[in-house]
Amino acid sequence: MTDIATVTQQLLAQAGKVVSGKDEVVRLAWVAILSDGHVLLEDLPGVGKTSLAQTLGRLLSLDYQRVQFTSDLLPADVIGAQVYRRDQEAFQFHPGPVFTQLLLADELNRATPKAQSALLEAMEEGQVSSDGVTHALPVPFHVIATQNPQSQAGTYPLPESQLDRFFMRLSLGYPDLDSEKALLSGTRGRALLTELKPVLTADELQSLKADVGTVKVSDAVLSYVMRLVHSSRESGLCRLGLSPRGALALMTAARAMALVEGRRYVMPDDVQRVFPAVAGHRIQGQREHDTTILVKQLLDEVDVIAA
Amino acid sequence: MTQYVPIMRRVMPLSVLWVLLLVQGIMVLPFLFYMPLWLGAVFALVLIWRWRVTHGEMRQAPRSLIILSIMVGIGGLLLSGLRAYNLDSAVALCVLGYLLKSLEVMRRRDGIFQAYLGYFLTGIFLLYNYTPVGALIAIIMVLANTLALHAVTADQTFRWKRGTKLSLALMVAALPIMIAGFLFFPRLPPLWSIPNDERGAQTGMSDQVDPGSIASLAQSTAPAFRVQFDGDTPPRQQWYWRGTTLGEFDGRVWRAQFRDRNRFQWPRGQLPLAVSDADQFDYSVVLEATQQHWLYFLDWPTQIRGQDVYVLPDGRAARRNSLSQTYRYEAQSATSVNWQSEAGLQRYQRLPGQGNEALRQWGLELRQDVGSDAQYIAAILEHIRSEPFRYTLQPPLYPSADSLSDFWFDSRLGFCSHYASAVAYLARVAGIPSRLVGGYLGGTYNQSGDFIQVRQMEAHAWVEVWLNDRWQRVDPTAAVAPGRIDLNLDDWLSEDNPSDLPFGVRFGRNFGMLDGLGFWWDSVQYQWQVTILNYQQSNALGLLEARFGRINPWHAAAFMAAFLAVLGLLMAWFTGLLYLPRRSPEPWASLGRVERRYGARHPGETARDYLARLAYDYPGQREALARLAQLIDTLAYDPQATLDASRRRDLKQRVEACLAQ
Repeated sequence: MTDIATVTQQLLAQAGKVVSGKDEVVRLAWVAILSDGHVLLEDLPGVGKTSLAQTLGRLLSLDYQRVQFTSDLLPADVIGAQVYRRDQEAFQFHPGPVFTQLLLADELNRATPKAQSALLEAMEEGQVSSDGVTHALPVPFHVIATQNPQSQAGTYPLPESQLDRFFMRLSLGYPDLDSEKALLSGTRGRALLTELKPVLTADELQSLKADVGTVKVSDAVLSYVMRLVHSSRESGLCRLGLSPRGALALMTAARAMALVEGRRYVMPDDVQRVFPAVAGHRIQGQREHDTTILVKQLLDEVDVIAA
Repeated sequence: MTQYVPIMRRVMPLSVLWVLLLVQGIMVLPFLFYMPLWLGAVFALVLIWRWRVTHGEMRQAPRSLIILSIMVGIGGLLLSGLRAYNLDSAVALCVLGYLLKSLEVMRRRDGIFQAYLGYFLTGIFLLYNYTPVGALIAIIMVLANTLALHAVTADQTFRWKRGTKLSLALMVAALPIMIAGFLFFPRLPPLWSIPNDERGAQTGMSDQVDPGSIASLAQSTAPAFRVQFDGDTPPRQQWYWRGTTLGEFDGRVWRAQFRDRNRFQWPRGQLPLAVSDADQFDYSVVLEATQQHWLYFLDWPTQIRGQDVYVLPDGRAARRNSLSQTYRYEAQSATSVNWQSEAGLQRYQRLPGQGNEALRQWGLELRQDVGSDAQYIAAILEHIRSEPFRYTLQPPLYPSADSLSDFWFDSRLGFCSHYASAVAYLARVAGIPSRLVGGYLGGTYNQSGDFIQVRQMEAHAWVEVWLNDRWQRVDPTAAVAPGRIDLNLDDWLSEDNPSDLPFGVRFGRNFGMLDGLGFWWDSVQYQWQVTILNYQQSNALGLLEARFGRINPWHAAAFMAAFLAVLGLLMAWFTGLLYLPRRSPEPWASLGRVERRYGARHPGETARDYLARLAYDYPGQREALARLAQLIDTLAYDPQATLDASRRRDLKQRVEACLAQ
């Protein structure tokens, strides 16, 4: 039995060498993976999205593939295609980059909806279909998709229903002063990646995931989650509240967070910690598109303790 | 399934606001029948305002506007003539406040307040209308307010079906409490009350009768009282319902004597009439609110059973307090009684010194022509029968000092009081003691309810003369309009005198089905008054007293207090069981002392966040605060931690460590 708190510490320490100063984001991404979820990284170019994905892949000893989404990308470019093999005189399925354990889908919103949905189906089902044949994806299978919120020209924003399939939406943001200084003064950059030591095997990861479900949730916490969820739907603050799938994700994430913190029970603090990442992309305000404020408002106004 | 208390403190969803407005409409509409109508306009304005606010076309009403509208509203009430401090103005003010409240209803707290105020108004409404219809409206009001309360507090989206079902269920659940309260709650006099002086003009016979007074009653189809006989019902010809006895005559107006009640009281309920061997009738009367004191009886009453009833020597019975709501009493009457010879008969012979000389002269001459007093009276009645006297509800006014002469010789048009007045006067001219009796004649027998309904239009006046050592009834109306005695007024009018009454008064007659419906409705109202409004608590108390001994108000109050306390405890237990997360309150409660010392926790702060914030502000306590946070978190959220005695002690110690300077 691997001690998850120790693993987490190792993971954060190792990842800190590459993406420094982003412990909380790494932790949340780690929580998402423990929860068997996919992550949407929404951020500006050049803040380390790819590095983060690669780091995680390496530390968790996951196969890593990257697909750059462009407007002329076809579904077959992602999931693979039937290729005619002359030597065997038959078509054979040639697996695409999706057949990996950790897939970085870079700039997902630049691809056409058709290509996007090919990926999203794979995320949802854990399998892909090509010419009527179903191919199972490897286990574990995680997607880290990135999108750039700034340049909207020539993009196809993900619809709400598909956003909901991402377990978390994270953003890295600019590094803080110290980290950036270290980054600039350093010379090795990505070369460090190759030096990272995996902190656990894929099998160990799977057993940790199974552990998440055993984390206890008391009535008090459950009712707090219910209040949060209901408030997002009923308070009039949001045009679109948290879906039941979102609520479920919130609960799972809170469990995983408790586990990461070395506890076997969930506290409201865990819920609050994962709430922005889990709920931010699933709710919509009445007017503004930025849900950061909305999420904060919900967290501020919903009483942690039942009256 | 655990349920969760809603915690959102902010605005209510739009749907709930609309429910509140609808409920407000339901509440206010019935009041408009009793309040200045422009309150309805206020509601319309509030409605429009809310509409525009919810569509983003207007801002939420600012405080200044609310204050302004309150002032304008109070001004309006003053202009509507509601000046005095009385029930009407107090209620109008309450309704106004209730209406204006919804200008600022925004948060759930406001909504809850509005619903509670609605319950209060429901109670008030019953002051204005306590008929079965009123009760039905009140039930609808209660349902509506419960619905509103549910809509405001529910943590789910409001749905009509679910809300209605829930309020119905709650009402059904409250029924046992309601019934217990109805049966056992002592009818204590109010501790304070708002004067009620402007409500309900007096109806029924008053203690003075001038010639026109009964005719105005005859225009009203409103019920006067209902009578139910225990055994046999006397024949219709004897349905003389006695109210006031009027012995003083000033030439125009007949007045009651014995105004000083205290001097002339007979012992409790005992009338000065001995029962002869004639038929006796037991009956109960449910008298509508008259705002007067008189009770009505079948002539002649021999016994009265009712609370606070006193009896006067001239055959009147009255209640100590004026009848501001329906009142039920039981009585016994006999068609003929033995009169004790009465002292002070000369008071019934007194005549005014002047006026009506011609009539007096006429009477004296007639008396000389006949052999006895009895023949004299008979001759008078014969005169009415043979001469062209006419009975009408719209007689001319007789304004002069010789009004009786004018009536008797010139116009000969009159109503019962004219005839009675003239005959009683003539009797006195001849030295025969006489007096006027005011009351009702006739009534309508209601088959389905087995009672007699007497309406205001059946008001009547007749004469009693002292002949052969007894008071004898003389009804001159029988001489001029015999049908009036045998039929009820309606039937008589429609047979003989179709054009005499305004059209509306006879509405409902001659329409077979409506008639039946009317009877049915009368019967429902009668049952309502007998069983609900005049519920004889003494019966229920009697049962209790037989068991527990004499019950005084203090006992009753103590009993009710105990009852309510038990009920409250039960409810607290149930709600506590249902609504509160079972384990968290206690660890959290320990935060209360910390909050009182260092300032309150923000709603969104977890215990750890809160204590961490305090630690930032009070670095000296950092250690203690962290220790407390750790324990609270464990106790509140770790399913394995139980709050046993040692933990509790630990918790208390850690709290005190935080508070130590």
